[in-house]
Amino acid sequence: MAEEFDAIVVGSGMSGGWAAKEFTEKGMKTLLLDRGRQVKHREDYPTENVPPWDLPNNGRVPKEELDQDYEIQKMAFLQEYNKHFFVKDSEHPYTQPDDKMFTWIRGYHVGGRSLTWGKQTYRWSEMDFNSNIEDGNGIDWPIRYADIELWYDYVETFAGISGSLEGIPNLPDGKFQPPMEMTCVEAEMKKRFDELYDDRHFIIGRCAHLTEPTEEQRSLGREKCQYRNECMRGCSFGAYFSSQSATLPAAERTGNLTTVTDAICHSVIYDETTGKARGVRVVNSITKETTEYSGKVVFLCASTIASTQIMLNSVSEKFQNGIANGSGALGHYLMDHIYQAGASGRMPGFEDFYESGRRPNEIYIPRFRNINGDTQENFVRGYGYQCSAHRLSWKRGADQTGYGADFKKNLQQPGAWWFRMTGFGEMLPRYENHISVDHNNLDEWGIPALHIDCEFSENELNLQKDIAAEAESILNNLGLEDVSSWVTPANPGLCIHEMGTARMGHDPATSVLNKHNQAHEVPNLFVTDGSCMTSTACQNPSLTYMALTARAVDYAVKQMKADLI
Amino acid sequence: MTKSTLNRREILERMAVVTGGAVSLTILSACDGGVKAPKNTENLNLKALNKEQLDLIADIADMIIPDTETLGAKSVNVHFLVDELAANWMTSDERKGFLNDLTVLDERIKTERGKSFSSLDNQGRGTVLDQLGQEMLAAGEGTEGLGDITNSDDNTGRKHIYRELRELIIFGYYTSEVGATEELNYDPIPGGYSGCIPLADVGGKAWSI
Repeated sequence: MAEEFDAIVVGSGMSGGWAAKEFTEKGMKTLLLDRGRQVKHREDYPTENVPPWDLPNNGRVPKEELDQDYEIQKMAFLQEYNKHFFVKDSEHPYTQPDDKMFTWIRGYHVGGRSLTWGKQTYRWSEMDFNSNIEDGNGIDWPIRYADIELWYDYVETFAGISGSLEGIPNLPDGKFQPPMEMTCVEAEMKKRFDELYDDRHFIIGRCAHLTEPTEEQRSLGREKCQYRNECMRGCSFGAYFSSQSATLPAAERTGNLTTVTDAICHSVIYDETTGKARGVRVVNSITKETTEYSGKVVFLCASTIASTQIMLNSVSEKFQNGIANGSGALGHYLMDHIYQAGASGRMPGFEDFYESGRRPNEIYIPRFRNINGDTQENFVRGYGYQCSAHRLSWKRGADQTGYGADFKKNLQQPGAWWFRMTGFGEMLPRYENHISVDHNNLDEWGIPALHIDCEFSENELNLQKDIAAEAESILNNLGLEDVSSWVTPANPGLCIHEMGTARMGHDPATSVLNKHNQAHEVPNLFVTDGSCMTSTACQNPSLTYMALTARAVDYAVKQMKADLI
Repeated sequence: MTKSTLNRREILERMAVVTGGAVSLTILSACDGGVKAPKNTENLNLKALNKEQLDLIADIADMIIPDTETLGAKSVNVHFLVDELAANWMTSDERKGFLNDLTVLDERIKTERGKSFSSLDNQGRGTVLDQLGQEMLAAGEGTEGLGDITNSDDNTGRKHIYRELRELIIFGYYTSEVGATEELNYDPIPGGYSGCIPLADVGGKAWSI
């Protein structure tokens, strides 16, 4: 082993970027590892601003390529213009039971999914941290809203979140840049919605896009959103939050960051004499050489499944079933959000109105089920809706039978206004939903094969049905026409909000991490990605990972300075 | 529009200074909205279609989206894009079925009308398309009214040949440079967002992307 780092951060996506920024800004010599290739801000966004006629096949990925290389990734947002930000499933397989599909959507490159995320950013509330203890599903969270509130302030201020102040108790307001506008039809629907529903809210989405950049953001080369809505290609304006646009340049300018790419973390090295992690063992993805790096603390931020896989593969005399796994909870309680249900309808009129610019954001209807006096018979928890109203595009022409100059003239104009809403529902933690590794079956880098065994339970499936039924009811009540709803048979993973396999808790007997994201049994090992989540709430989780990561680094550095870890 | 273009350029130029020129030239040039002429097609080798199939698609495309104040689908060579998509994008099974259906359609028109689609006059071509439109509806693959909520661009698996051709031709035209930038409004870098503007402010035309 050569140089010893103060901190080793595994993974450079949403959480890892934050860990690197916080450690380096606090003066810590930090090693940032990513298993994938380098992606430089601006330089490595090859499809940015390439018009459809200059993309191969005008932007259509060959179907056989999708089937052969992207069997799972193709179910998410993979397109010709962003396929370089997704893994090839053919190169990175995992197994699962025949009757239970879990779609693990991922990208192996610096920045990870912070380049391709949905950018919806909602705080959790006291209700969400209380939910497990109140209805008895899962263990109690070791933190409450008050523990994280200031950290939400902190990460929102740096990341740049656009949103409106609403005063909704179960969706706390944050430090917002100006909100984006609603379309004419959304604004009309909000008016009708607010008249009809006392306890529900119809608000513009909160999202990690700059609408009024701060000096700090400008100093990192970030500019306000240009409303291209081509975020998944990468954004040279740095207008949306990604590791590339925000946390990595902040870390780099401290002079304290060392980044190593193509570095697959094989395992955390446990020192039996000190009872601490000594560092990590890394396999170069190209040369397959193994290197050991040592550090005073190790932060796993490789994403829920990947960080847990590393821990399960970190076997020692003390931890034969994975590091810090005395509880046996490691790898269990895998969760996602349930998705793939909603409704749509046509808003008559408004033909003379349109929008200008492409808004990378939607409408949000926060959770209203099982709160404020609402009680559902067949499910606990709830869901939020993400929605929008836009006019139909030229794509409507394929299903029509018209042709000729009149048809062309008609398609030159925007079509009818349609409102579409999709629910995002909470999933309960269940022991049976788990990942495991097979030490007898190694891949070309010597990493044990991954097995994912996860399915939705009745609670989620009932909740999903309610998402569709209630969406249809809302749209009918708001006066839309041609309303219809859908419930697609769902498998977990597709919402790309996987969480829970190294959960936080009070009790080392039932949880892996304590209230500081610190392993109960290995004091200098922290996990701050989605693995740590004790429940899922129904909000998009990235903002909470950011806040928990910044909070955990603050704690770790204080502990290091006090020589406690 | 001139003012917002200027603002965008100002922002880009300022960014270029801030970043030491890191903002790519493609972004700067996109502000100028230059338009390329359709590609010369004389020496293009066909990748999937034969000449009869290519001509059939070209003339159906010419009927669906004809030349008006702007060039239409045939004039921007949508039929060559369909050749590319058949060769590269479709699965081999889909391609086999698609090519077969095109040949069946070509032969059927010759049998029923006594000559190829391309040899028919506009009225004769219209009669064929009307009939195909009815067949497409009968197959449950279209609507006469507004089109459905998915924006009607479902292109998974095989469909009625006319529905497939329509989808390919319409996709090809409005993602071509002429279709996207001349027939429709195109603004690669809007710079700002207004949720509710009079449609007349943008000439009554839809955005292409």
